[in-house]
Formats: sequence, structure tokens, C-alpha cells
Amino acid sequence: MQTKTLVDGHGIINEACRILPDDSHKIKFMEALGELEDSECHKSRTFPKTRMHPVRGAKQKVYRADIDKISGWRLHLQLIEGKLYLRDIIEGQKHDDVLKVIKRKKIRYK
Amino acid sequence: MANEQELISKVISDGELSEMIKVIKNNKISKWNEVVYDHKEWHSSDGNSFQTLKTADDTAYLFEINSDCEISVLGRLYDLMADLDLVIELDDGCEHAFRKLSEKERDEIIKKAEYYGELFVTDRTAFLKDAHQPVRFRLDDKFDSSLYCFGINQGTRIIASVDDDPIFKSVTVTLLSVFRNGDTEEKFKSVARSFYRRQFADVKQI
Repeated sequence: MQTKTLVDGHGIINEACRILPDDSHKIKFMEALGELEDSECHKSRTFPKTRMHPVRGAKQKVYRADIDKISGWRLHLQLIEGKLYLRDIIEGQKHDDVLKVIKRKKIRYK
Repeated sequence: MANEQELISKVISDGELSEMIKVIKNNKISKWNEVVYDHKEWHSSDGNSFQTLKTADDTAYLFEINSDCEISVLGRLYDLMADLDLVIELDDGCEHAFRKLSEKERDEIIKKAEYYGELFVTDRTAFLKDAHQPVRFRLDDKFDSSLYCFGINQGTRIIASVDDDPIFKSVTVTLLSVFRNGDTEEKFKSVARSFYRRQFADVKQI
């Protein structure tokens, strides 16, 4: 398996080991890291485990990836010069974005 | 593409290059609220690397100075955009007001949103002239807001986030509010707070 560079400059792996509630979440966290590093997922733009998707509303390229869909534990990552940086581990939240696509097209350039 | 070094020296002067290197070096030692994201025709999403479009021999090229202050040609704009999607999205907080508009008004808003999304990619300097941020927000002490207010016609304005996404190769315009009257700044603050509350633990107005 080819890998995409994942950088942990803020001690998020250490924090995850400390704050995730049980071993099952810690295993899911490791699986999530595996998927985020997998260049095949990046090539095909599909992230079935983490459902990685961009966070709207931030100038920086911020992504959200699920650790566990049910409890809502998730990661914030930032893409800088082609590398994914782990930025935050977040406990489950009540809301999720409800965004409806009303139009999709290729960008035109003349 | 012509030889990369020749292309760079053709359109970017030594003065312009050293000016940008100075900006990048200053950003590295700046506190977050002093970081420069836009300098003349150069734009950055994180204050680390800067990009700009320049035309040589009638062809638009995208140039980048990375965080190590090395300059390169990322490619022809035409090629870079070949696989790029423009997506217009509607936030659920905006849906009710949007659906109440006439079909003509909805079409006008979608067309303008498309226009701004394309301008974001093809001419960031022109985009920033039209995109207005009445107040700025800092998110979780790390990120900056990409929410803007745009005029649609004489009476109507929209608040939308404009985000580019290199992993899924898209630029997304997310409509958060459509409004006609009232205090734009107050409206912007209230829309931003409601939107960000769902995504970030800490939202500061700066």
C-alpha cells in the first residue's frame, strides 16, 4: 500500500490515546489513520471508514474525518503543501451540517 | 510548457520575488492575527505558501512560492482546471428563505454564485474586490473565516462561504443567507455564529 504523508505535529495521536473512552475507539482511531494515509483512497477520492470531507467556512484547507460515526468522535485535519496535518480530536457534537447541492458543473475557462 | 526558469524570469521580477519572500518570512514569526494572506496579486490559504496567476504568451500559468521560499510553476490554468468541479450548495438555515423567492430570483442568485466561484479560481484579485467581509472571525484559534457577503442586485445580498478543496478537486459556494434589508454587519455576525457553532468549538470575532 502506498501512503500519503500524515503529520502529527501537535501531539494528536498522544491526545487520542489519552482521551478516547475505550479500546474499541482507539482501534477505530488507528483504522482511521490507516485510511487517511492510504493513497488509493486519495486517488479514488473515497474514504468509506472516515467519510473524510472538507469543512466549509475556513480559508485553510480543513477536513473532517470520523473516528466513530455513532459516538461522533472525529478528527480535524489540515492540508498544507500536499501533506495532511492532524490538528484536533473532537468529541461528538449534536449537529452535523445539512448542505444540499443545488448545482454542480465543471468550471469553465476560456 | 516553456522552460520553467525562463517562464518565471519572464513574468516575475526579482523585486516581486524578494517582496514575497519577505512576506513569507515575516508570516513565520508573526502572531496569527498579523499573518498576511493576500499581498498584491499573490494569495495564500494558510500564510505558508502563496500562489498567483500570470500570463505569458497568451497562456495563464499558476505560480507558487512555497514555505521554503522556492518558486515553481504549478501548471497551465487550463490544465489545472480540467478536472475541477464547481458546486453550489444550500445550507439548511437558508433553504426556507431561498425557496420563498421567485424562480427568476433563485436563478439570478445561482448564476451569481457560479460567477463568484469561477472568479475565485480564475482571478482571485477581482474576487476579493467584490467579496466583502464586514467582520472577521478566528476559528478554534487556528483557522480564518471564508465567509463573504456579495451583492446580487440592487436590493439583494447573499452571505456565502467560498472554499476550494484540492482533495476532491472542487470549489464550493455554500449559500448561508439571502436578505434584502437591514444591517449587513449584524446579519453577517448572526449568520456566521450560527453556522460556525455547528463546526468549531471556539469562534472569536477579530
